[in-house]
Amino acid sequence: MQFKNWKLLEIQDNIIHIEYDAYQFKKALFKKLNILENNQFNYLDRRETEISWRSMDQYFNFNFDNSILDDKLELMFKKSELKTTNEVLVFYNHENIAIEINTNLLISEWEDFFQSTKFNTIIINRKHHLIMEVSRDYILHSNFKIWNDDIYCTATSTNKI
Amino acid sequence: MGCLRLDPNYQKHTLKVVYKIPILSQKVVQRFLSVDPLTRSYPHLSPFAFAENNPIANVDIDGLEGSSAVQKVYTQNYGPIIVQPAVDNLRVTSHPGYQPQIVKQYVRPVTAVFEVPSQEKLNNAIAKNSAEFLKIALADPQKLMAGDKLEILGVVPFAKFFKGLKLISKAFKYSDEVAELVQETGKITETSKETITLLKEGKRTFGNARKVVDDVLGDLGDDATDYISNFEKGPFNGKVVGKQSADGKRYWRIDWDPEKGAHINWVNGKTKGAILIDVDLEQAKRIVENQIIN
Repeated sequence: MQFKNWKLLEIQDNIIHIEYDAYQFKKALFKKLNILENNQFNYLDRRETEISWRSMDQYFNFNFDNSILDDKLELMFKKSELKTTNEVLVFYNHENIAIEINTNLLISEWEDFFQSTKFNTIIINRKHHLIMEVSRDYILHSNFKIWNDDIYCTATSTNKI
Repeated sequence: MGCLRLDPNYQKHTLKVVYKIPILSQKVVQRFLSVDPLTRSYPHLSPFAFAENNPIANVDIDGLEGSSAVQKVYTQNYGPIIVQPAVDNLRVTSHPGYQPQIVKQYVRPVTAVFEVPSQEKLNNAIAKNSAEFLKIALADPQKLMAGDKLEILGVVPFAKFFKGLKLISKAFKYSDEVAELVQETGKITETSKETITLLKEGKRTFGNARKVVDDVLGDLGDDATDYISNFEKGPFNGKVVGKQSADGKRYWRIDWDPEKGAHINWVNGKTKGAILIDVDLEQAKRIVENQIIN
């Protein structure tokens, strides 16, 4: 497949699997996993998510548009449950594809992946129990805990010095 | 384009709209002799509408254009929130992304309606553009409930809130033409990565914001494409909401959020920002619905 997206071009040799017609695939996946879709659209609202996160058993979110997190979020991902999975599926909604990549690649280049999906993506692990969504207001939503108070405290105290 | 005439000889209806009648041949007292001078800046609006045809939500600034009556309130421990005056209450909205201390898990957007001490006080505050008259004191945003009563101490009108931007001195070099439009450029917090561009009063139009974003992103290339909204179930699915370079690394789109209102959201690699425009959500929708993006 000939990619145009800059990040897909960059990592095309590292893509394990490509799911075409990601829209239909995602619909089927949501149905299978009993994930409720958000049905309340407010047109241009940057906060919009595809998943109705309020309906999830567990819901966590935080704003990643913070320079303090630039080098901390990678560590947070590594300390989270995400590290227990080898591959993740990243949806490129604008290209209508989903790519499966190594989790370490996502963790080390998370900002590139978020940006190249136009801050509009769902990321899910192969076993389908870890789900994340990035919305255009730079909020990372997840059904597992990523935020790590210890790391954040270290970051802020370093900043104060 | 029609003209409006006030004909003293017409007994029953002194005001009516006529079309394609030569101006000089009419006996009229008052009429528009030319198109509204701001028509080009507001292509989504009728040039004959008062206060953008929404005299309840908008106020007239100077006889030329309307401006939203929606105000932004700054709270010491809560960050910016939106206050929208209604008949006898305020609608208050907040969002976790703009907490002064930035990120905390479990903090969710809160929307609640609060009683105002009196509508008269609110109107006075808005009329005076007072930054000191009203201020909302909130103890714990997570405990906000619909119907809570708040002590209101200060309202900061739109754009004046952004006086508090952390200014960026070196990050941006605008062209001379665009520099003329920009009031200030900065960030909401020290650690925020999104750059906010505030245009000068009276220049916060979509057309001017386009000039700024073109300046910031540069030429997107001959192979630039439309940025198509892709929320499959959303009302704008398939609509053009912006522009992007062929590789998607640089792009802009029209967006809205409760804190910044309507704005052009742009991304250039790892740099990103928002250029605020003085239109409300309904007007922003019309820009997309009527496909005035280009």
